[in-house]
Amino acid sequence: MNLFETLQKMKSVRPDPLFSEKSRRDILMSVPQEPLLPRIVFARFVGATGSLVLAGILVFIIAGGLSTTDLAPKFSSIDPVALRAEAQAIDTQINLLNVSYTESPVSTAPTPLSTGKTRGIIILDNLSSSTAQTTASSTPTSTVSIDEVLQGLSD
Amino acid sequence: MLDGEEKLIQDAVIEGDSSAFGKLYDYYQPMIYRFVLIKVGRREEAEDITHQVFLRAWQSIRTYSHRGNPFGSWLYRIARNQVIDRYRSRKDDVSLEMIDADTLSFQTKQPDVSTRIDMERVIAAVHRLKPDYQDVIVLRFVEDLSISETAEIMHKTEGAIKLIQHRAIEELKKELNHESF
Repeated sequence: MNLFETLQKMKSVRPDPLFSEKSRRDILMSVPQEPLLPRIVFARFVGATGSLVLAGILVFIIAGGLSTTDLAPKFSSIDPVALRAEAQAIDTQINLLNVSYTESPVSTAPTPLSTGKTRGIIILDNLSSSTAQTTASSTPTSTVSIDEVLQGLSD
Repeated sequence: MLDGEEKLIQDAVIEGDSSAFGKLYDYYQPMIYRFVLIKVGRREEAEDITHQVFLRAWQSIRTYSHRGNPFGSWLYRIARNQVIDRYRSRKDDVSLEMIDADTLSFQTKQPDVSTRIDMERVIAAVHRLKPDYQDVIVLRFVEDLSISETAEIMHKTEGAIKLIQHRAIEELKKELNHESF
């Protein structure tokens, strides 16, 4: 095959006449678009944004007006004394919550010492009634040290 | 270049004369169709893209500024962009089996069978080349455009076109040899 000859022969390739006719008709029936010249683009931009800017200014004037003397915001309805009192109340509540939080484990949680106390009293009851009675009558809820319990056992 | 092309362009651009554009269409449409067909390898897609090229050209005819170059250069550029847009996301392979008898239609008498087979082989091989190589092969060796016209269409220097042309021919020969084994 001669490559260049074959490529030259491809020049006789043509589109289907029916396609060409239909495509030509469809294209020429459409209307060319107007070119987007810079001045037209600018005019469209001004037209589109101008109305938005005007609307924004109107909303601003209606909503709050424009003060030229004092641009700082005024908060006349806010009372500093009330604010301070409120802040103190919040602090107090937090402190109270902290107190109750730290107290609760002491009253409820069992400790090794208290467990030992109870066990010691039971043993005393079993082994030596006199010692146990003395202990129980004198201080039913008093603290009994482990040394005393051991002493009682050895006796 | 078409006789009286400048006057036709002027009428089409300034006055929006559809008959003037119709004459430009008649002259350039087969060239653009061949250019697209050899690049995409499928008749339906080539017709679709060719239609889009001329539709876009007519729609934006008012923006065309004539600088002495043939009107076809502008159309080829639109065609290149259309093909790039179409195949940006996918790269379909065109095999010989996909180029059926309907793919190639001819102006006058049908070529003999061996010539037709050779054409189909070349189209399938060209389709596997890089887009720049495809463009140079079609513009230089099918449409017989000059180096300067090709450079203008492809937005490259004449030196670059010569280099691409050399590589494109080498690659095309390689593809055809590879295919024959």
